[in-house]
Amino acid sequence: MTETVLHTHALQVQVDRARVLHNVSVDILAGTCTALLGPNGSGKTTFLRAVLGLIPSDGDVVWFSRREQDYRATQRVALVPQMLPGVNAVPVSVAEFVESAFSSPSSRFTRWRNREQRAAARDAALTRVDLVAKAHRTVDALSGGEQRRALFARATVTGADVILMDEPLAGVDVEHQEHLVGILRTMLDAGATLVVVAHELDVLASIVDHVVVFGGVGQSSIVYQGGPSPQVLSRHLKHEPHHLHELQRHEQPTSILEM
Amino acid sequence: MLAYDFMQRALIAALVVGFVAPVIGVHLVQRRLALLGDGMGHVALTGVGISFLMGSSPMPTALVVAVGGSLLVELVRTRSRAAGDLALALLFYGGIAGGVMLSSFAATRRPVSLTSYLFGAISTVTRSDVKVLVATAAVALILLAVFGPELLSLSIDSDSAAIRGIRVRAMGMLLSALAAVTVVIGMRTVGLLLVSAIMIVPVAASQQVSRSFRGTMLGAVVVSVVCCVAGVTAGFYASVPPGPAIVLLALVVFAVTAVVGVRRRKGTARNQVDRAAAATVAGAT
Repeated sequence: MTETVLHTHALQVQVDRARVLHNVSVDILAGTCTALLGPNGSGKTTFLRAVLGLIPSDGDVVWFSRREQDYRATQRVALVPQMLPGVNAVPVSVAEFVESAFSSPSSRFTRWRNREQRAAARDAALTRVDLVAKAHRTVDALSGGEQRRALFARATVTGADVILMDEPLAGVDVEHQEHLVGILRTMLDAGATLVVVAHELDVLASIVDHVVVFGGVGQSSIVYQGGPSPQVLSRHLKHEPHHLHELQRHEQPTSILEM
Repeated sequence: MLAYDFMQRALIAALVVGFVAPVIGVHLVQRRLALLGDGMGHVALTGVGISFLMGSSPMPTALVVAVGGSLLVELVRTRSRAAGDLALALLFYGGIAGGVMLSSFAATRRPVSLTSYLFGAISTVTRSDVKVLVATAAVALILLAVFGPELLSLSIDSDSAAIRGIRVRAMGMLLSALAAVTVVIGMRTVGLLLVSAIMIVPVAASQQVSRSFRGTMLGAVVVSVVCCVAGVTAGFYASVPPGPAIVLLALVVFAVTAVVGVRRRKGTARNQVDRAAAATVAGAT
């Protein structure tokens, strides 16, 4: 039976009493690639932050089907944020940036023992994203696209098998977009679970198994979830909210939760 | 110089503070808390005032008060950035006012002087001061060896650190407490008003010419140790106050590395433009 990596039920997020995300019920299955789509401000990033516990939320969030377990303890989950959180006050090399993913409470007293393995994993991650030649540059000196590749290297260096990505391909040139999608495909083949907030579904279409479209203003923030049917995607890619509402009324999606 | 016991103790104190201060300071700079050490110096002054009043040893008392104050500051700061900024200011003003007031109370019973704590008086470092200083520095370095990578990870990206289970608030408190410890370590060498400079200026000097966090830290330690030893030596031979001498030397090093850094960055930018032009020409032909 396929493992449910993430289950949310009636997830809700409020910011300053305004409902940012409401009634979101989603199941993410192991070994699948789920695309979170929707117009700007529809709550895709908020959803990622809520399920990771980075912002307060109401409702159920269950990782790995174990309600009592904190996902952080598993070290199986990694995030690729939209961009670097800010310019570092002290120079941080690309290698150090990627290595920072190894820091965790569980490795606090063991990191001296496996230094060589970590260095090898770091080099492999940098090689995968074609940044090994820039390992000793400061991460802030990289271009926007290169920084996104560095973020991707950091998320994958520890062997985490559940990767949440917030627009990982934005700003990356076409050649490296295809390269990164190839890496994602290899990770999926190896059993990884991917959740991708995206606007460039055309590049990702070949690997996406499941689509969750945000932007609902009615009973749920989700207007559609199910397979990436070309009809749905072509409407979604227009980025016009009225299409989403139209979809909500007329489509026959695989499943529309809480509607 | 080394024939004198007090100078041996002074040099040990200078070496210890020279080594520890930038190792902590580099994390403060990275987290944009460069002025935190300065505030901790103010809070430690209340500890010195309490020790005058109680007749206890100033260093351990200042240590307890400064660490307590640092934890309080971090607690308020994490709850609200705006309120935290204000609380920080209130605590710091309260710290210096409390220190002066308590000292004046103590002065009615016996002669006390805050000046040597404000600006340092390395020649008055006692044997027990050295023991407390070395032990405290050792604990601070051990804590940093264990938690340093998590602190760095947190300051690079707090969200990703939190996802890996790093406790953001606890790490913030640890760094704040380590800053307070460093302030007290440097209290006798450079004084509470200038000790923060030893945490920050060598880091500022080193980062001008470094491309990595580790490189910046190592460079800052070298700058700091050299300046501390040179400042104490200058104090002995030239009869200048060691604390200000150390800080001014570090600032001179900063000025030099800043010039080198600017020239290097200009050179790199020029090379990139040249390479881009060459690539364009090659593409056109």
